[in-house]
Amino acid sequence: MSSAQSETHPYRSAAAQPVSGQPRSREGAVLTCADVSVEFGDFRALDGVTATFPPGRVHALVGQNGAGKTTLARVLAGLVEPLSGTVQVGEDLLSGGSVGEARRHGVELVHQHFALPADFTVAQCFELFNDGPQLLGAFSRTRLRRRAETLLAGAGTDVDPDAVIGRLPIETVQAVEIARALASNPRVLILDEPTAVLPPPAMHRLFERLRGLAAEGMCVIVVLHKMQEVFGVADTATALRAGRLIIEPTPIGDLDPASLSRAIIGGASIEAVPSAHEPASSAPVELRAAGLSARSSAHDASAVDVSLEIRQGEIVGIAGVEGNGQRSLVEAIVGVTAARSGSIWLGEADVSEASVRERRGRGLRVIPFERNVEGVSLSSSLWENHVAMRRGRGGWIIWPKTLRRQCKEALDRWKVSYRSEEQQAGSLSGGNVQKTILAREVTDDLRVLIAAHPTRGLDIAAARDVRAALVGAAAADAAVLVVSADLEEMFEVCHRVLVMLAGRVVAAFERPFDVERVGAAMVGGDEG
Amino acid sequence: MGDFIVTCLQAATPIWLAALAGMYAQRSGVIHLGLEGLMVSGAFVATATAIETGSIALALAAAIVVNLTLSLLFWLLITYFKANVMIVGLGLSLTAAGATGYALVVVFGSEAAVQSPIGLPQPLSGLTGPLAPLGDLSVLTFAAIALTWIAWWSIRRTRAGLKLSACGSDPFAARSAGVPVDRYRLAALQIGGFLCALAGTELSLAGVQSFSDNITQGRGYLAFAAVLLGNVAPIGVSVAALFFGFAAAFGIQSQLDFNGTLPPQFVLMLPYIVTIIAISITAVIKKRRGEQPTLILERTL
Amino acid sequence: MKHLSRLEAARPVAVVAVSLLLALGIFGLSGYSVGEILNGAIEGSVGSAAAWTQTLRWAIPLLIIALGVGLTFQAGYFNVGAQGQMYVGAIGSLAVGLEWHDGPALVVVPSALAAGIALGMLWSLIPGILRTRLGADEVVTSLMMNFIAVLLLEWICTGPLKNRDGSGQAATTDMLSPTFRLSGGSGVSLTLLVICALLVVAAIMLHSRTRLGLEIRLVGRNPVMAQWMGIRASRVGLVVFGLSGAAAGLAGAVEVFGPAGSLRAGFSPQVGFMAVIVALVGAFGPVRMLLAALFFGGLRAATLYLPIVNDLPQAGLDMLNGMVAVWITVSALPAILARRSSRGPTPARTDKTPSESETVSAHG
Repeated sequence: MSSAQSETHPYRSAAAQPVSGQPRSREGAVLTCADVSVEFGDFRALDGVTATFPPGRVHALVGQNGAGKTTLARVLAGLVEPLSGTVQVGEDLLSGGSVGEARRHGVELVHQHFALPADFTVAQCFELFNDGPQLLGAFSRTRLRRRAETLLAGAGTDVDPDAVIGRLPIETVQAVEIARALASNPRVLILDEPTAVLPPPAMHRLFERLRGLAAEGMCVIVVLHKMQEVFGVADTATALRAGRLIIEPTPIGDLDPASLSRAIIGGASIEAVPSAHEPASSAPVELRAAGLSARSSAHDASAVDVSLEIRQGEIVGIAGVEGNGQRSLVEAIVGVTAARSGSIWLGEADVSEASVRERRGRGLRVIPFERNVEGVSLSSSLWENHVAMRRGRGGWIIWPKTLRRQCKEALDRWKVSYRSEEQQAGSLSGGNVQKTILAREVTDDLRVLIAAHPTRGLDIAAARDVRAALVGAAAADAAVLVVSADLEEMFEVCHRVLVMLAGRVVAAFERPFDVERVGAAMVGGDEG
Repeated sequence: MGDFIVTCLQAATPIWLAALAGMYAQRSGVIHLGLEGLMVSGAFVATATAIETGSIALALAAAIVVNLTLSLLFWLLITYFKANVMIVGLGLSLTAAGATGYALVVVFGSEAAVQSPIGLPQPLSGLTGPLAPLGDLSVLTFAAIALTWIAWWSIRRTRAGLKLSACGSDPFAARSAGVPVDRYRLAALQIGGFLCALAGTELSLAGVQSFSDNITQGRGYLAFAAVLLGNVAPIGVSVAALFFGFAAAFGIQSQLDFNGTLPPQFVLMLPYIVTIIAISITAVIKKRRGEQPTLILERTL
Repeated sequence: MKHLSRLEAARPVAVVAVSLLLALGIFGLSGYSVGEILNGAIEGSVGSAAAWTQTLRWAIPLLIIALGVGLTFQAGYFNVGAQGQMYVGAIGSLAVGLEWHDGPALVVVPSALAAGIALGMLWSLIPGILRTRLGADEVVTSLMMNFIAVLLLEWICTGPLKNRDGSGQAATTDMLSPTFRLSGGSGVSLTLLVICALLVVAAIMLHSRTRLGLEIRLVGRNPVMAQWMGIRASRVGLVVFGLSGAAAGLAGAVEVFGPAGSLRAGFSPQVGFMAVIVALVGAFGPVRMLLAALFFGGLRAATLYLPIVNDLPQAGLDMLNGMVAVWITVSALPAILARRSSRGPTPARTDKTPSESETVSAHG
């Protein structure tokens, strides 16, 4: 974050004039929300948020994960019905909780995980979001195609209208989503973390676009994460913390990165995690992948010919823009996806053909990508989650009482706040869920720990605990592999950082790390 | 040969109409195991009304009204009461089977069957020559052909159809597009109720002109299989339903042809076996292509 | 939390009670005397020793099948093929019993039961394998297997095993040797009750004392997580399909060696579906399923008795069963009320909370 202060504002100078050649039929509008509160069950996601976003500007909405940025964006777009409070576009008060109404008033939301059906073609997606007046909306294929071509051309996106969404690269999907949002000529455009999936050059192009749209008079609201991006693109910044408005829309000139990030984090000073000791150069290799290629069934590039070695006590990071094969690599190492070629070794054992259970029996532990999907079963009890892991053979008979006690001990050791070990995992907060996963995975027989986005969505304190656990695992002579999108976190805990691009490891860095060079390697600009 | 084709079409029509109903429902994201029940209720109400009033139009109208009501109930249960879609569907089928059997006794005092004085009109009955067999086809067979085209057009060529499909394939995307997902599901279920009323009427008032206990004999479940077999596409679903009609007609035919040599039960098994094989093959193909299998994703109760 | 779980426990009872009232209302409206029906129902199910025997006679197959079906449901598989699995189990055991009609009962009967169990298991494993290996939908395949089994039974009863006693009665098979029978025509005997008790105990042990029981629940609630934990979800799936087929096959064999003594085409219709309802009403708990099976067994006994006293059609029972199925999975709180009351989370009934289903759809 400190580096942002010295940044110039690269996007600001670039394009301050209108970008699309078409005349705009609708003026931008001021978007106001007053005293908006949202609750999900017991959790208060937004608490009395009041803010006014004038047109003709790019507004950055910032905050930690879980601060309520996405919820606020969804309330503004009518996707989430607030418990109380109002949203107003220009002069018109929206009744709230209706996307149709918000869209009719010219509010469009571009989602972080895009909201386009995977089995639709690009042209069909445009038609799905078409708000024309017909009752059934009959169309011909040519008309559908022609409309898509026009809109794509207008948005400067080059993609076949008949391409199926599920088969497009994620960056293109985002371009389609933005093009479809602009198709209705919105007065307010909201983008939820658009930069998460973009490599820097594409990000620059996106920011130029947004500045152009604002120059045309549109009200642009962007949910952003990084100070550098905020100060690069935005005219104003708005900060949320734990569901409350901390900084109302304030001109960027009146803010500086240091104070803004302090506001986001809150008074609590982050105590740095003591860094892990350098592993001895003689330490044996605990995890080795040689020429590994695999393809996850999920949305990710294949991992191609990846080789890496991690010694005992070493923490290695995998940096890269999301979707460059990290998931394929991790799934292949864990064994939930079969490797196409290459081999995987845990210590002295070749586990390329081994089952997940066997690998876990050899001390492989994982903090998976999606903690609520791969990490825990939300509707199962805490103790069932705690003993879910299958390592090695035997153990056909179980003694629930003993298992419950073990679970209780482990959860207490990891300072999870819970009422009872019979409680459903889904009733815990994100940070506590992550700690229950750590309590299960970090055991005495841990030898290799793979942590994928281990602190994503956690508050500062919980994130610190998780990082400390990674360093602690290394101190106990485990080999640790960290996959993260957060370079600062990675630089804090890792001994080495590898960069993945299009499924390959394209660069390797040692301490001290240089943000610029790692960042360049992530987009193919540096050979490390 | 002409007779055989007509038998195929006659056997296929009820399954065909019900399969289109299931297609609409599944497109909107509702797995419809209640097709069987809606068919049997449609068949009973149509027959009873035909007997009481002697009017085919009233019979159809009554069947449609009852099925729209049942579909509304189905929708309320799965939407507002969060009941499990498949269990409610099965329950609807069981209730309708029981209730019609019960009503058969209570209203008509018969355990087995009740005859209707009138049947569905047969628009081509005046034909002579080689086309004469077509005269046996009821008006609803021709309606099925037209409705298939309408289904294709409404799903593939209208924005409403796209929105309906989005409700099934990505409800979140549909909501983001401002589609009222629940209301689209209600609409799909109502269309389904209407189509199943036609299917039931065809079953009872076309050829046999009677309603008997367990008249559907699992045709509703065959229709559901046709939905998956046809990959939830209007044309595919219709082809699958026609195939089931062919298999049934073939079963009837072969009973005459190889009486004694091949037990008829084995011929009658054919459509079920082919369905299993075909569903497995489509699943494998989808897996190869890396697509999600057409699975019912509602897993836990 | 405590409060809600008690509500959850009361739900099945309430659902059954409401359905009973509805059905009685319908019977009353259509001209039957509700008082007579109630009297007759109680007489026919629990009013006498003979009535109790009838109740148990129907509770036994329902319980055995429900114990198995409950496992597949718990593991997240919608196996609706119990009827067919029961039929092939019955066929297999009868074939052994008839072929080996002069063997010693102590050898023949266990082998026949084993044959029934094995065939039921095989019948169930076909959809099981197609689902876990190929991803073919198990609802359709298991339904289709039912239809095939119905036809197979019809063929067996009119073809290869058709009765040769010349009575001319259509579609029944020869009778088993009386020495093989596990019970008389009443369908209740100590042996059968012991078998049921053993199965219930086994189910309890499986549920709370074995790793497999735990894994079945985990796979049912979150198969993706189970896979990351090293649990082979597809293998667990095969096991539950096998076990539930085995149970249904055993139920078929018990039917043949117990009350029936022979086979009739289309015997005990709807028992497979009724067992699904028993499993749901019992919420997959072995003891609760036992209670549910007794209740529905009693209901069946009552409806078989009622037509004798006041010619209430049997279809009335099917209607009642169906109504129970229609309501049984509704949540304790209608969603519309749950949304309004902001306090107190409703129990998550599936793993698909909003956040999760979103993430699931986000990566395919």
